[in-house]
Amino acid sequence: MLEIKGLTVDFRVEGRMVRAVDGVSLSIAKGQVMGLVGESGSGKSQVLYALMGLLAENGRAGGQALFQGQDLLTMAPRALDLLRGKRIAMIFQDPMTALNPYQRVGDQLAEVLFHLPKAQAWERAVAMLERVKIPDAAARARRYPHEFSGGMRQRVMIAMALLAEPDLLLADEPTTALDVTIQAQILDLLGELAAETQTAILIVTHDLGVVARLCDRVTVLYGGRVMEEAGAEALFEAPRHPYSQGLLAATPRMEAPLAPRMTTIPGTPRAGAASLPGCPFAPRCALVTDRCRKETPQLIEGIACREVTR
Amino acid sequence: MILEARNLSVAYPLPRGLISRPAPLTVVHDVSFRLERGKTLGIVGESGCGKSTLGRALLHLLPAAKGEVLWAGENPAQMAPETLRKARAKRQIIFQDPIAALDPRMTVLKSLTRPLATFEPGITRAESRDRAAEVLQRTGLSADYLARYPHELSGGQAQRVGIARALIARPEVIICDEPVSALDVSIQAQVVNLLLDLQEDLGLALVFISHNLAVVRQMADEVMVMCLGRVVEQAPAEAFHLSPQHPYSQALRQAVPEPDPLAERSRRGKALQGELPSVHAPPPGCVFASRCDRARPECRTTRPELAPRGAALVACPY
Repeated sequence: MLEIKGLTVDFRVEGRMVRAVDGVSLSIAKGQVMGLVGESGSGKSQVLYALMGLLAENGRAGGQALFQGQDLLTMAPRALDLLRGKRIAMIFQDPMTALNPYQRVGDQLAEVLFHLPKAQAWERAVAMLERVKIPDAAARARRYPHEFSGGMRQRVMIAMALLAEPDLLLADEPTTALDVTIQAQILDLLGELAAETQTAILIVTHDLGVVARLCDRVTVLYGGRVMEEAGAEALFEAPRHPYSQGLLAATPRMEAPLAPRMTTIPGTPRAGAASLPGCPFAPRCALVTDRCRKETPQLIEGIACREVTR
Repeated sequence: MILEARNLSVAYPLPRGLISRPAPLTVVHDVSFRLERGKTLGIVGESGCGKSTLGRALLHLLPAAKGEVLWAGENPAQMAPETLRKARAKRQIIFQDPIAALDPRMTVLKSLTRPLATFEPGITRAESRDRAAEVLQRTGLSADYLARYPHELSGGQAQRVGIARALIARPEVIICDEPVSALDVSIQAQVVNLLLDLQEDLGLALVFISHNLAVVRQMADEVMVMCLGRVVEQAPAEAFHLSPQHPYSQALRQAVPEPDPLAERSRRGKALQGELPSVHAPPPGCVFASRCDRARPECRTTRPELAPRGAALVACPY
């Protein structure tokens, strides 16, 4: 469905190019849910923006992103327009800023089906709102976004994304702004969707719990580079990269013996790491060698670390 | 008892129209607890449950509509202004968004020493600079950071500055309002440990407000679960995490995604259904009845009171 090969994203900042994403490769099959995990500044959202042609003005994407065989990165804008919102849909972290505050929710949804007669499009919009479990959908469709709660707005966004029956759904931290109870509802909804309609989902998140609940596979990003790519169960059971291990150990748990202090990863992420040679995690890594600081480890068989594969 | 609430209710004036007078909307109802030195009360609940409002009322930044707050046995509402100012120094707050909580035009030094200008007006410049460097070091940042501005800090560093600012007046109680929610996982663990270390060294009492039960588990000695402005369960932390009693507490507990795909697989499709009632039109019965799968007809009409069950107080008779 989607195959990303050596994706790079650079931004022109004060006259020079700064790399934010460096050589990200991943592929997603039909009906599969891939989690793209990373902390702030890891470049995870920029990957999605690059795919959708939504990079900021000073940004430039390189490499390849093949969607059903066509390269999204080199496609003419008009051709991309034919895919976006139809074959590929996207949902954002903050549904309030992604919805038009001046337009009734039903009209915003019906707009997606502009090729249908208006009454029919409206009917489909209401049916989709029901599908994402908006109570009293027919009446709700006549309301404006501010009359919805945060969880309901996110469900409206998902309904809008689903209306065109996309083959690929890109989700940028779709539950981060929501309460845990609502988050659980939305994750269930996305899971059902992938299973029922065979839509492939690429979900960006910083929360390993979200990955555990929803994803089949995981790509772990750090400093703009892929550290590890694995099946969800394998990653949680036996993370191989020192960063994946650290991240998993630092995630608070409900179902584990309680230690007096949490496990931490010392240090902080290094800004602009993707522009520098060497492993971006080297300054915080317990296994670091001189070579790690100088030579960027390649992703081989799902892991970018020489020290653990040696 | 360093901090105590007795049947505390908090209300906001709600504008009703051009002519009619504002009517109070009560957003926190009848909260009682006692907090000792060196202990942590965790307050959990969803957005709009009143947890942050409660935190502000505990600092006497919002007045009590009913009941009272006691600071070491004294009600701040009845203190003389000078006594109140001195007492305020001992009660500080840390906010969720660490960068927004700092003035963008002030250096770290200036942000840190502002509380001293208020609470210890006689202090010399050199002294307050030394105090700022000292608290900053306590939070794990070198004195080099004193000259920086908020935009030059990462989220984790800014939260350390926020904590240092809360510490500089040598407080006894700190209200932590979602202090790690905006931080990355690897930084979140560092800040949680920092708070635990500071508490141990300085004997601080903490009120830790969070929606993240897993973080509360690490921090709290006692847990209070709020829903729509009411406490539905209040229990010692250990007992609470072993077996939360109220159906709402159980639902919250189930909703926290655990980093374990096998455990999570069994939870798929079991998310809590139904909508949270509006604070403007709270239900006459149990605040959770509209979403509770065990609700009985009487749950929708009669509000259950908090009653003891084992070591806990639970507002559910079933």
